[in-house]
Amino acid sequence: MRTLLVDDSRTMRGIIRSIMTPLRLDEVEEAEDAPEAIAALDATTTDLAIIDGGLDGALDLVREARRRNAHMPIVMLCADTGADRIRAARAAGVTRYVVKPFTPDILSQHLDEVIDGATSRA
Amino acid sequence: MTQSVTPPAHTPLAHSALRVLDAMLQEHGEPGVPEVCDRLEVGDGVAAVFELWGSANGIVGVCFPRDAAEHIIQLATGQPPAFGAPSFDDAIAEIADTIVAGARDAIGGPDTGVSRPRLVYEGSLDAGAPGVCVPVWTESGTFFIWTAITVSAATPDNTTTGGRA
Repeated sequence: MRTLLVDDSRTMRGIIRSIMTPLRLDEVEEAEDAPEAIAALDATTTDLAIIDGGLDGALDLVREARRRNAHMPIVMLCADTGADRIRAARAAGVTRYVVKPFTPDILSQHLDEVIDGATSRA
Repeated sequence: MTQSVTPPAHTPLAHSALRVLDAMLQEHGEPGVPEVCDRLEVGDGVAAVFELWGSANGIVGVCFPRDAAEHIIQLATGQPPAFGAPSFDDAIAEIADTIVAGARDAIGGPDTGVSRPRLVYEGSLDAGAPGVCVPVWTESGTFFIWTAITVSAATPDNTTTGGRA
């Protein structure tokens, strides 16, 4: 499963990758901003996207990703727990909204569930 | 119209810091006793400073003495820390940003803008207004949350979040 991981923090990308490895999500493309992520989406097939909700243009990026792939799971990681933000994320096409800070177990569980969902659809 | 008051943002920020350390780094701690302080002493460490504007104005600082910063970054990255290196800055900024984002309710809500963190190494910071400093005791060492915030008298409440997270 090819994953696109979008976060402007190299540290956070490292933490997330360490959580992904035991899930055998080892085919990972990293992007640090929305333009780089869109270029990655256009360059290759992506099966799962993990997007930092605090990124500039995060919701626009979700819409772009959704426009390119209607069924790809999109996981948003965000510290904002406001109902408006969560509603907007879902409306843009986010599959799973994970609140920061998260434990490795919690993120792992969310990823496991969206992978299961994607696999059973395929 | 503004009032020169400091809303009680330091306690939610300290608790947010503990949540972040607990969740992301499995590091535990507890908040210390807040004290009024006009300046943030960075000392030999590093502070991530956030500017606020809108219905709340001022500064929030998350200040790590060097030893605590290095221990925390070691936990976060799994790598030996290189104090002051770009990777070190990135990790400090991300941890501080997550702490502040987790306390948005307490620092003005959606009508308050919060800047990206600016890192300050050594020396001290002066907000030009009285602030509150609260130590956060952790297994990695003690670090400090500093707030110097004024709020608009017209702001009815601070119960909604918004902005960067």
